[in-house]
Amino acid sequence: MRTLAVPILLVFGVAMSSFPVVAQDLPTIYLYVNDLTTPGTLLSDEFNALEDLCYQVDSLTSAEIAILVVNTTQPWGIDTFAARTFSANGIGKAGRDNGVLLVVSTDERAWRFEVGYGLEGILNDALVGRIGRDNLTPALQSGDFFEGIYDATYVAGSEIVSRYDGGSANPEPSLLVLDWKAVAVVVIVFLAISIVTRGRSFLWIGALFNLYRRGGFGGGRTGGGGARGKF
Amino acid sequence: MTLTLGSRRRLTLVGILVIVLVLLAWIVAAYNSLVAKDQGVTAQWAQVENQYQRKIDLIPSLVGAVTQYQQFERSTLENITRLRSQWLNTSGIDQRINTSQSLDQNLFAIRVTYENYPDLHSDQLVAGLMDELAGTENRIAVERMWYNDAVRSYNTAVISFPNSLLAGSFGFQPRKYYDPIPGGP
Repeated sequence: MRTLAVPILLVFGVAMSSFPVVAQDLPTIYLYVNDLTTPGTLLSDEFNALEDLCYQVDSLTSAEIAILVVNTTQPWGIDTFAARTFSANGIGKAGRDNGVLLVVSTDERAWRFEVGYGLEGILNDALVGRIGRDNLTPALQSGDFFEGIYDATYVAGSEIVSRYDGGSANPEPSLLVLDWKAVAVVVIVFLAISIVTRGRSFLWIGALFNLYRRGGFGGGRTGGGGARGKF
Repeated sequence: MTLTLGSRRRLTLVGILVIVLVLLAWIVAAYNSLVAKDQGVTAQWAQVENQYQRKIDLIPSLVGAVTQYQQFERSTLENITRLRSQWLNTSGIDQRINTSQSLDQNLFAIRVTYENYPDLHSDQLVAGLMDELAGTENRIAVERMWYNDAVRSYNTAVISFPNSLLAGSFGFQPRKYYDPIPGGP
């Protein structure tokens, strides 16, 4: 009986776990600034400057700005790519949905601001459209990606800082968000298997589970607000 | 009573009780999760309609702002205003979708005109309204995408075994996807 228990448990565990519907090839991002292009677009001090800017906005208002530079957004196209990446990574705090994602695609020469539900009132489409046209497009056209992204992020960030009230006290922004439910499940399964196997513990069992819920973001949602443009 | 039963029979009784309890717990959990997913689909469709309404609400200010420019065709603007009141006066979902499609064609003509005349771009009000229009179109597309995701999650739960046993007896039916081009697989 005992020898059968472990395989049965495993089969049921795998059968009952639900697989994410759309996950393949969408980037999982852990930082505010993500340069996924090859060859890289941002230098390391440029990366740090942007990272610093986004951290300040987060610690002042709890709003999360994420910047993503990619070579291409195919096969989705920039609108769907931005909305799906936003949602898969949960940019913005859960419940407040106060995230912004700026996607710049170097091959398609396109940008898109994706604004979470909670910031739609402040960063409305007309405003982010203007920020994109005035601050982003000209610099990107001349090839200065950092200047364009920094200016646009600065203007959008200042708008958030001066007009957005994040509500209750903002906890120190943290980039490591553990999914405690997943941890609890793993611990229980681990203990159960340890008991069933009388201590011959399966150390590898933890690797079966994804302990991280998502990137360092809080679980915000988007309804497709924002604006896009070409450069 | 327990004194009269042998320890074997007592074990069997406990075993049956445990199985019944586990089954009951599974039924409650599965039923509640189906209800939650079903409600999720309904709420998501409301969100799609919400964004349609947003587009309809945007039309008066859009038409008002572009009327002063000769570049936009009178007939297009009149059509948009007419279709908007038509949309507001109908309530059936099919009629509304039909009206909305004609409306989209006319709004698209407006956008094309706007793109073709760069001198219009200096008007900040019109530029902002064009952003709002594009943003609203995208919002509708995104909310439809979330709607289809919700339907997929719900349908998968209803159809997959062993939930399918439960879904059938409680009357959970698979729901329809938003499908702009009917006749696919």
